[in-house]
Amino acid sequence: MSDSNICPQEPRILASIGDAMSKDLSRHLRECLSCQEAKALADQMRQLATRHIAAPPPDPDIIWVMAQLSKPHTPWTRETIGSIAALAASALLAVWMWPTITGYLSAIVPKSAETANTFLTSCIVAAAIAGVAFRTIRRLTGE
Amino acid sequence: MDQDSFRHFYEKTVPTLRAYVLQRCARVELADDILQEAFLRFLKSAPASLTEAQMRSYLYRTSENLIVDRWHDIQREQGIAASHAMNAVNAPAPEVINAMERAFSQLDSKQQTLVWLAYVEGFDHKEIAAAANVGIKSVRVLLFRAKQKLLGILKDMGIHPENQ
Repeated sequence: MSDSNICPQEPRILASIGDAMSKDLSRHLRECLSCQEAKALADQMRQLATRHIAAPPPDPDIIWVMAQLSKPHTPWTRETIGSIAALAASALLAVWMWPTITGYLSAIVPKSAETANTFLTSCIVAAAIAGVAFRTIRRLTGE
Repeated sequence: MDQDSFRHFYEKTVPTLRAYVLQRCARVELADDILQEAFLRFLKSAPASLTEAQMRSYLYRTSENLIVDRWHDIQREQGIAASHAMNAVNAPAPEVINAMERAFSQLDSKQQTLVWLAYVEGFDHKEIAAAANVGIKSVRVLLFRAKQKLLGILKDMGIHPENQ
């Protein structure tokens, strides 16, 4: 250990306070004066940090509500505009692809069930648009 | 982050963070004001992708900025606090804790931050660098100096932590 620097093992010693220490680390602690000082200092400092304070801390639920009320509205960033453009493009694409999807489905669905064909096409188009919309909302809200 | 996970994180983080802010500004009311503002800024502005250690670093950094912003208030309050501190922090503090508190207050503000993050929070050097806004390469040397200064002050007071 350099005499103008702390022991490289010190962060491991400090991180292990309160937990089981490995044999290597325990041996190091027995032999290293600097780490013994650090551990003793940490023990005293932690007592200082855990002193009882009579007044309760601020209520986390109130802080939460205050934060929700004061959150700024999402500004129109390039990302917002891009996401809305992607959503509009997917809707246009769905309209443009409608005859193709219907044609493809008519080859699978019997001719007698024309209503089912229209219904299935609507479901596919709606699912695709909903998927894009869901991704857009998630990206914009950052969830 | 939803409300339940925020509450859980808050309850886990608040005791040591509050003790730190109180140590720096001496009055419970002022400390709680700073604490509340730090958590508000965290909820409004912290990126959602932070790990728990990064969230704690963010809170320490924000609290430190708020302490600096309110430095004049703190200095005025510290005069009043000399007569009130022991009522506000009303535990029957052992003699060595009082000595530790006095010794800690003699460190400069950067040293107080480094010592607290290393010896109370158990942050590694990377986390300390992020929370205290210092270069990662400087942490070891700065921490060494802060530790030696604190041990020196305690020694002058006749306190040897390793013998307690």
